[in-house]
Amino acid sequence: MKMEGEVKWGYPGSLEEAVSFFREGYIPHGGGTTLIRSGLGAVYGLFTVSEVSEMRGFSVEKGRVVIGAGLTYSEIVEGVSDCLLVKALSHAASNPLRNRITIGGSINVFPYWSDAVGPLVALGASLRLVDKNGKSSVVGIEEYIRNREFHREYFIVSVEFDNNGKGRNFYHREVRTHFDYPFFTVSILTYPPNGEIRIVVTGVKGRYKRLSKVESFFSGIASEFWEGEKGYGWLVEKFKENFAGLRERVENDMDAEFVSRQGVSKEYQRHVAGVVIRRGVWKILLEAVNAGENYGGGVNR
Amino acid sequence: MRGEFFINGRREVFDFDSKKTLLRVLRENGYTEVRNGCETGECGACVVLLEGIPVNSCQVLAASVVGKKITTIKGLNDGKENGELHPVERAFVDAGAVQCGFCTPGKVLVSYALLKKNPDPTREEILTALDGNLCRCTGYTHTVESVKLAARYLKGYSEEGRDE
Repeated sequence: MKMEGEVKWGYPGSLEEAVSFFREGYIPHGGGTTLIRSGLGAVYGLFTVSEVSEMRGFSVEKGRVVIGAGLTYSEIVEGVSDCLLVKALSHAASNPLRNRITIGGSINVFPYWSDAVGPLVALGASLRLVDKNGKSSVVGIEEYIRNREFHREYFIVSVEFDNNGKGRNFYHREVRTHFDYPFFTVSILTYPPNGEIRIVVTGVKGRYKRLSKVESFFSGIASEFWEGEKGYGWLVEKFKENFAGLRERVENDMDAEFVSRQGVSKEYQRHVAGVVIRRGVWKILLEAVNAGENYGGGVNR
Repeated sequence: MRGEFFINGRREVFDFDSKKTLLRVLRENGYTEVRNGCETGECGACVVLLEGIPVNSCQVLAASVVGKKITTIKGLNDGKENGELHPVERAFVDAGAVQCGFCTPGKVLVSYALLKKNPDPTREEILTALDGNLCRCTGYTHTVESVKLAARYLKGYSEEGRDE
């Protein structure tokens, strides 16, 4: 790899110093794995975030998880209690890369194979940003992804989301071998007792898509189950009576456009995603039933 | 640019291109035990320990780790030059997990880091730890066995009062 010219480096020890570097045109350097891949041609300067304590900690208060943007995937997996994000990150990339890739860098770059963004969208995560004058703002992750101005004018200090431990989750990365970058990922999250289900796919056109029509369909079944007097048998029948039909329904309702990649057509991916989502929701509901969860007064067994 | 590193317990100061990877800088300065495999972070041959944690040195910009502690395979046994193997290295030899040897330094360093943190890893934990180390000749069965053997050796090593 040919690297020409010099890049300036800054080593801030605090957020204030990091902001000073940012004001001078330096950009944050987390793990640097994407920078190496994309090349450093147009980069004026980089500042490391590894010594910025505000970007290196995590906390949990009343179920609200706050993760410093400079934490690596491995640090998050070890530090944050079980949740959809941890499930996704624990199998992302490889061990030496998980030790290097930071959550802030992943959100900022958001490659199509990202294992971080799908779960964070499903979790409804917010980002704390800081601008060149040190002014802090909080924006939703979807807003951050949509608006490129945030990428130019701000950098991410931390990521926040609720993890009350009540919801159930399912994560799938579609790969040929464990080590591959995923073609697409599926994140499913439930928030009982209202039966709401969130389903997010990444790797599609526009990089990610929240499948609202599919969510409504399954939320309907879930709500009916949780809130009514439906029994376990009803749920089983609901799914088993027409399993193929459910996949078809999911595929039809999936308002996401898959992208053909080497050796894998978009039609194939769409089909597989349909199967995965159906299985994922089914798995979540069965887990809840088997755990004896009983929301909204319904008789679930 | 000029930067200071602590490699295998020794202070080193290098002049290097600020866009170069740690792999390139290490090899250009004589640390050729760090293998150059794919340079895309996929094979794990270039793994070094950065502050005790395995990373692909081909995916780390050298300038980003100035002032940090780096351990290569040669530094595993406190830099001893007498040919004495570290218990993890010995386990790899004894279990027959070494063939061409190109992937071995990376695998040994990852295994060493795993055993430091978790002295009794399960097979699943070993496979997860080594999921970034590709081997094209020996395979993985003997590697898993060697990590388990290394766990036993390390316990013996401590019991004899020769712990690091």
